[in-house]
Amino acid sequence: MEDNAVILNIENLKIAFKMRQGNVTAVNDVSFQLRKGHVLGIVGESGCGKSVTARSLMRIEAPGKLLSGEINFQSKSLGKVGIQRLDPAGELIRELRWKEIAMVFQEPMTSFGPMHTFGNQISEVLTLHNKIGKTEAIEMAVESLRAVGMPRPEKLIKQYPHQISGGMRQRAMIAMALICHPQVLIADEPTTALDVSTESQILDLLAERQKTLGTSILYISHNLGVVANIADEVMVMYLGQIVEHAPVSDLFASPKHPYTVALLNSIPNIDKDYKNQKLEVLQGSIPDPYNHPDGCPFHPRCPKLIHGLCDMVQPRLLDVSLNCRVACHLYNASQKTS
Amino acid sequence: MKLLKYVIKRLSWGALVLLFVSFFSFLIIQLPPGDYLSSYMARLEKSGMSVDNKSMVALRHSYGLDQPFLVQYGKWFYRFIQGDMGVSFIYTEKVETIIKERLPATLMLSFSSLLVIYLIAIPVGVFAARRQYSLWDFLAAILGFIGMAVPGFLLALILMWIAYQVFGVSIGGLQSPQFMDQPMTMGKFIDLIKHLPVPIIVITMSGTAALIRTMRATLLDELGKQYVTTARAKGLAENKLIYKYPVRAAMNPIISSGGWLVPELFSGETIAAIVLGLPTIGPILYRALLGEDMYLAAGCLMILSGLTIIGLLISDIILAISDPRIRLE
Amino acid sequence: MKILQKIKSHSKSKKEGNKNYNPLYSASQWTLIWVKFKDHKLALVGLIILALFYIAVLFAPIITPYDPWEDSRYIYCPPTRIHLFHAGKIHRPFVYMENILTDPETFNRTFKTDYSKPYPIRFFVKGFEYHWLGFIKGNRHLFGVVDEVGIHLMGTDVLGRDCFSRNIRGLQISLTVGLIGVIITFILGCIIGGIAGYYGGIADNIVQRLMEFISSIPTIPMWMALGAIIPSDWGNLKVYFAITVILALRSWTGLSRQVRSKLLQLREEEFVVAAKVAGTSDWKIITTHLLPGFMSYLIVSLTLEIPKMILGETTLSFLGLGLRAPTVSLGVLLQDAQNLAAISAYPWLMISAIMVILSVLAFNFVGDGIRDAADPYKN
Repeated sequence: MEDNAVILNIENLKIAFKMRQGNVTAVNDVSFQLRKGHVLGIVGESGCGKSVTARSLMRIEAPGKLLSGEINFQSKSLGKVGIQRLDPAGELIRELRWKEIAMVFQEPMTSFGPMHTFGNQISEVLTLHNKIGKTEAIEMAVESLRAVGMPRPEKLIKQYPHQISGGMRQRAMIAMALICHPQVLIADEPTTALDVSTESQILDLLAERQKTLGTSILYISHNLGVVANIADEVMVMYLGQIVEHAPVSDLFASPKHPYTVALLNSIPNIDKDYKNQKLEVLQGSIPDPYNHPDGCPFHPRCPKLIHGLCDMVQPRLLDVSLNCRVACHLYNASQKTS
Repeated sequence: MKLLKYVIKRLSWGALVLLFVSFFSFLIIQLPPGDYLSSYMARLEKSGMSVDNKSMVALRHSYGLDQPFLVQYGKWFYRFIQGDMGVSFIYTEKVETIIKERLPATLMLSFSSLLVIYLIAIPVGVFAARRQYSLWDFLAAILGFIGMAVPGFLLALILMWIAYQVFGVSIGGLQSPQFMDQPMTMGKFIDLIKHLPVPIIVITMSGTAALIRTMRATLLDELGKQYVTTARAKGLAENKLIYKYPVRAAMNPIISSGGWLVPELFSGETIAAIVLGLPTIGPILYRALLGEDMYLAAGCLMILSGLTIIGLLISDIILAISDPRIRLE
Repeated sequence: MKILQKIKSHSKSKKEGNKNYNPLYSASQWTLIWVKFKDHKLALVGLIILALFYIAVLFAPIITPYDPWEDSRYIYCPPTRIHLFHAGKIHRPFVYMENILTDPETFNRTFKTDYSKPYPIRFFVKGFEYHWLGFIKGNRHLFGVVDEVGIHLMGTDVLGRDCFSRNIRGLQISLTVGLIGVIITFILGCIIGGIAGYYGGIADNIVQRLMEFISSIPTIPMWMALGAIIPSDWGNLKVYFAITVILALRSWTGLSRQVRSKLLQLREEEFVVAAKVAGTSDWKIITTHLLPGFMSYLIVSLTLEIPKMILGETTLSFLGLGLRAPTVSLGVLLQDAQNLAAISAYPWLMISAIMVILSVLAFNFVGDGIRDAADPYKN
């Protein structure tokens, strides 16, 4: 497959959950593409739907959901697959899981089962997907741990998760995720639970692995700084919708959506002279998930609100310039839909 | 080896506890005013006979009943650890003979009850957790109610009554009269099996109910944890991953529950045996207490406690082996 | 009441989907627990049953038409049927006379109902004398009939004593034994567990060995042995308290374990260290800072201990090692149940069993309900 080929094509993805108090639309008409060898960062506050989107790619989203839209994946073994059509408990999706799309989770503390050794848990994917023998699988597991920079992987193989630190566990998690050389790696806030210095080590590791193996990465975070480090493109989500999607340099140099602007402004800047000013803070808080605001989901908090327009009409995600899309009425007027 | 050190440490604690239990047993046997001889005398007097004081004093002396408490305790304990548990007044036999006779049945019943509890509680608990609000969950709940609200003796009575009313059978004891005192044959064995269900149901009911609840709650807890999602994301089949990961993790509190289950079993066995007339240690203790037969009562208490301590020790060892977090701390 | 208003408006706002209005936001801890508790259907049922039982027990002498200890010649009577229709016409609730015919050869007794004369049930009748609550003399009872007939709602026993009266009295004893026992458990458990948890170290070690020692003796044998100590010449009241102490001697370990583990956890918390540094005395720290935090856990534990005590007392009394005649407890009443032939012929003797089961279930449901309601992490 050539570089830059589209391996994941999400179209109009909508995911809602049936709760006792009503339906919650977690993901509201989301469309984007992931290309081979690219790193796509997804940024947003808690509850904006980024995790749910990611999990739906492997169909491990929580039960009780309604799914519409398309998740088209260019699988190596199955050809073009519409993942949304696969039975979440069926054989086909299980074939794809980990082997072609793998995931690194947020919590290194609880991502590994407490009663089994690392050797057991890592080699498990190999015996399951690559159908190789146990001894060979253990050897490959040792090698994979070495590749992520673990000291003495032969010893680690026999140890249990509670015996090593969180940072080391996350490395092991990454080793386990990449051991089958998946096409796509979903990293769901992998460094949120780690301290800053460990975080930077993990980020370097991910970047290095990505370059070596050519894996495409979907990097989810609420931390813009981290994303800036590692991503090629960044997608900003708010309340289940994409509000801005641009190459990383464009996004940081000239953010378009007021939400993105506010996010960037709220990061303390070591070069900026604040004098006696307060740090800019985003007004208000996330609305009730059961009751989305009419029109633009961000309008109650938007400093550039246009009455009569933003609070009534939903803005669509449109191209503003090359590879840059924004969902905002401020930019609609100057564009025409194609 | 770490495990060996742990075992030795627990064994020595157990011995110490057993020492306290011996003191306690002997103490409460002696507490009621008077002793076997005085109640024996009272019984004699009631039936019209009387014993004169001189021979009473002589009898007392020969039994050592006129000596101070600590001396009596010391003598008794000294002999006890050598295997001489004294003599029963009621049965006019050596205590250790009586207990030895009853020990196999006691052990067999306790052990099979333990087995039954685990064999039923674990699968039912797992099913109840996985399929909430289903038939299994309902069944587990019903068992739970019976187990927690119906006292053991009542359950035994109800079962006996049902057998009496519905089947016209008088169940009781562990063996039909024709097989007692016979050597083991196939017929005897089958007869034994036929008599086992009722005692086992009575003994295991509350323990099973509690364990099912524990399993269900623990498993529900574990099922919500991150590593289950990881396992699913790895592509494992649902059934396989449930048993390999969360059930395995949920087993630890189940195994450690052996800690309270063991004394509970011996306790339940005592009352079941009394009501159903089983040839175990329980009814003997009962009769000994009613009749102030102090050596027999103390001996029974010691044996029951000793068995409990050994059972607790085994359960702790199994837990240490099975949970790597404890083993490798 | 304000609380009621708050709850009412909460349910209303739920229905209207008005999410901005949340009066429970500022409600006290206990209000919140009550609201959640109400949702738990079983717990509510349990609470109602307990309320009924305790009210019945409070008014025991008044609602029972007969003296629980009075023999009569109406032996083993089945429960009296209450009729509403006499000779085809509706009538205020009444009973018929039951004539007992004894076959002279087989001694079989049969009951022949005399349908000729209805004996209406009267209310606030005069009956046997009682001292309500120990000092109020009275002789009025809730309901009854004239002397020639009997109204035995639960039949009579071997000595012709009214089972309904005996069961209510038995309920009285069994339910209160649990309450008092639990108070003793609470005191013992808090003190011992508190010392172990708060001071740790050697004190903790000793307490743990003590708890181990007690747990090594199986419950029922231990209770049996202790019950056998009670001298047979002790009065009813003394025996009653002795039983409650015996039961508590076992259950304090459970509570003290909880208190200990919570204290061990909490004393490392920073607010305790802060209080110490500020010079607060240990006692004050325990009572004002630590205890309120896990009060709800303790209440749940205690509520769940009561049924164990009820079962313990019942078992002991059944074995003859607990409360003894003439004291009436549900366990004592169940001694009659040992005679299988009797139960087959006179099944109403088992009603005591139902009362035991209901009380125990009710307490367990309520305890579960409080536990779920007080758990801040649920829902």
